[in-house]
Amino acid sequence: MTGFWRLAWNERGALAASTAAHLDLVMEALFIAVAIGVPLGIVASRSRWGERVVLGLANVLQTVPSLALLGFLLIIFGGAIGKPPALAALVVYALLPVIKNTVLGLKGLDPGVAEAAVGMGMTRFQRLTLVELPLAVPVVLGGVRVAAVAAVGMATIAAAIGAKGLGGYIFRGVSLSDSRLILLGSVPAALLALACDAALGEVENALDPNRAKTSRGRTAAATVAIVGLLAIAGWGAWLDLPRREGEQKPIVIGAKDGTEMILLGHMLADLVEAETGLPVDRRFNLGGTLVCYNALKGGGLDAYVEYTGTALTTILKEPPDNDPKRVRERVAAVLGERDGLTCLDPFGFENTFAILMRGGDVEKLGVRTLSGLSGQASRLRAGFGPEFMSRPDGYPGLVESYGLKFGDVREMDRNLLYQALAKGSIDVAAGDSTDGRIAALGLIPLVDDRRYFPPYEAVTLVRTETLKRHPTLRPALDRLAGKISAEVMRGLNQEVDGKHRDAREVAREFLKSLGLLK
Amino acid sequence: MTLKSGAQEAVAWRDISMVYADGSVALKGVNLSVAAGEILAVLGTSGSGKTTLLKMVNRLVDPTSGEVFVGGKKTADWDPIALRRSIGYVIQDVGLMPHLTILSNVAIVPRLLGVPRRVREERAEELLKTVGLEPSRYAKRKPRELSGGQRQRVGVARALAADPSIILMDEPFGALDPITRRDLQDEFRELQRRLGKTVILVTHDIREACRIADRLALMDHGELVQQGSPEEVVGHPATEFARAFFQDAEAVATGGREGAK
Repeated sequence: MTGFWRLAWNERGALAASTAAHLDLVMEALFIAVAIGVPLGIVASRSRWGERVVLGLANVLQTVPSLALLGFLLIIFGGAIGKPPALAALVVYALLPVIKNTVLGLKGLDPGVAEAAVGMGMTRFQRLTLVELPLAVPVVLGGVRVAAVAAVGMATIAAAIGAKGLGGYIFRGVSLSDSRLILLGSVPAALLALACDAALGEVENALDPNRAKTSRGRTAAATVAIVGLLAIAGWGAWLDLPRREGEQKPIVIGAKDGTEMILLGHMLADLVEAETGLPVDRRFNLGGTLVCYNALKGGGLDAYVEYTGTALTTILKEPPDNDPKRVRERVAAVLGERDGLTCLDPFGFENTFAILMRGGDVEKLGVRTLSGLSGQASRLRAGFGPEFMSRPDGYPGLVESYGLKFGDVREMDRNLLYQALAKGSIDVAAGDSTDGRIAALGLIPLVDDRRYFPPYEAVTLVRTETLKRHPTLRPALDRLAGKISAEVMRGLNQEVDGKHRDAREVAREFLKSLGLLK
Repeated sequence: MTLKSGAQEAVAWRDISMVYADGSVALKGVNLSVAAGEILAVLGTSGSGKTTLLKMVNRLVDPTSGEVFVGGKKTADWDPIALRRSIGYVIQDVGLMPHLTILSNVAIVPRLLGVPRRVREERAEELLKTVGLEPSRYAKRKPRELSGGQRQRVGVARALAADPSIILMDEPFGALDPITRRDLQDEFRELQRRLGKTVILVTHDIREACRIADRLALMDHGELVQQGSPEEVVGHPATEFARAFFQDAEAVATGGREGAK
């Protein structure tokens, strides 16, 4: 626990900024959701038909899984990563409670009050503005409160598309199996949720004409809390504003989730900063290949590191191929022509999927190869990441090629696989051949004796347009070409995954050891 | 038609019938009128059509056939909003706006009519005094801080705020305890005398009707059974239904009228 406090103290500046950005995202989403949701709620409350259509739509949107929605919005926003699509996603989820409670509040009008309002000669508009809406406010606020708590949680997931906020810590923590980082993100998020809930609850009470007045002290405390929350959110928004005067648009370097990608991302970012003097924005831990690719294509990212084989199967949607050079050339040609992306020279190491087992099991069962595994598979529980499960060069092909029938197959976050395997909750897992945790946890990769998994090279994908705009950029990005062997990459990964060191620090140290950084 | 000599007709119903979409009949050929300055009590059991009759005056309900006249003009020719603003309306639920202060509640119709704030609030304070609520104590309170009787006083003050010549009252004192109800009935009668408003009061309570009204109209199953002064109607019931309705009320009615005479 002392480790946690030390980490929190070291991170205090970034943590405060992340908290503010998080709250800003939530607050902006709530304001927009109210601005859209209340009018929609009014429309819905006017007729049975309107209610069905509006609430039906909001209900459907609510059921879209969050990651799917984020991915979808990313494409709609033309690959812009960060705040805009994240905000849109939060608004979509916040709409239902706001609309629902608006309808509820408007319909819940006391019949005596309603009759008096008509009998006194109020027009329809006057009834709405002088009676129905003011009386619905506490109920609407109840909906905003529900939406706020959900949005605080949802905003952590938005880190998958590069939105700033507390989710970054959680994603990093999960990918590094570092519970301190997870706590660092989730504790402030939980506190934010509680604070929003309590503060809005007090406002709801104070505005409810049918409830006894709350004490002045409580009202004052709630006011202070609301102002405080708004101030924090305002600071978060201000931090996110583009700095105008004389400052250039930064080069945005992205990275998929996973230690290796983040290490390489830091190296690229450090090199660009050091050699070109251009400002760099690091958007790491993005949620998967398609998020990064769409962002790169749309201009939300300028560069990120991708495996050629992944590009071939996931982006180009072509069948796997065993020849690394052919794969790289094919990917470079299609991405260059079709998407305006440049594929730089590879870093020098190959990464491929590795089917892993515990060292003890390998001894006991005498299994060394994947063909050897087929006889034992029915007694083993396997765990795979979601991407592996669906890739043509992943699970479907694997079981077919080796005739494997596992006793049980679970889909889990790929970063949790190593620990799950080491601790014995699964017996077989698919990992990355360069992952440092393989050696650190005493896991053994089985030999791919039928050469099913194509070897993948790691390459930097860059927007060609960005390279043209900044002629100094390409030489900086090219510095690492051929400089990182599989051995070296495993060692670097192990520094982060095994020794829990800061990825940025490890990357910087490595660049210095190569003499690329002073 | 028993009109007071020389008095003008404030409200008149002519051949009013009301049939709902489902075919059920609420009113059948009703002819009735109220003279200016008169209090008419419309009596009847639940479902007799008395409230429907009342709501036709401020066009909360329109008849399927027949015409209602207010101030000599057909209600169908009135703009319903303007019509309602010119008529006071008091209901059993009172229907005060829970989010507004007592003063704002009383001043609400003048507000709709665009009366400047100072003027309408002064008027509202006056009216609070008129209905026996001290403005310095009650003006800034919210409806939930008042008792049922006090709320109904505010309801009456609100109905008077725009100085309408006609006031509609639908079971206004029905939800109050007997003592409060009696006090309010007597006070209201006094108030009406002073202000000379035309009042149409819907009630099922024969005692209330006799205590307050100049004239009674008895409704049964959508038809006007009998009308006249309390003495006439209660003393000479026209039908079996009327006899049954007035049976145990006669003594009270006569007693109730003594104070007023």
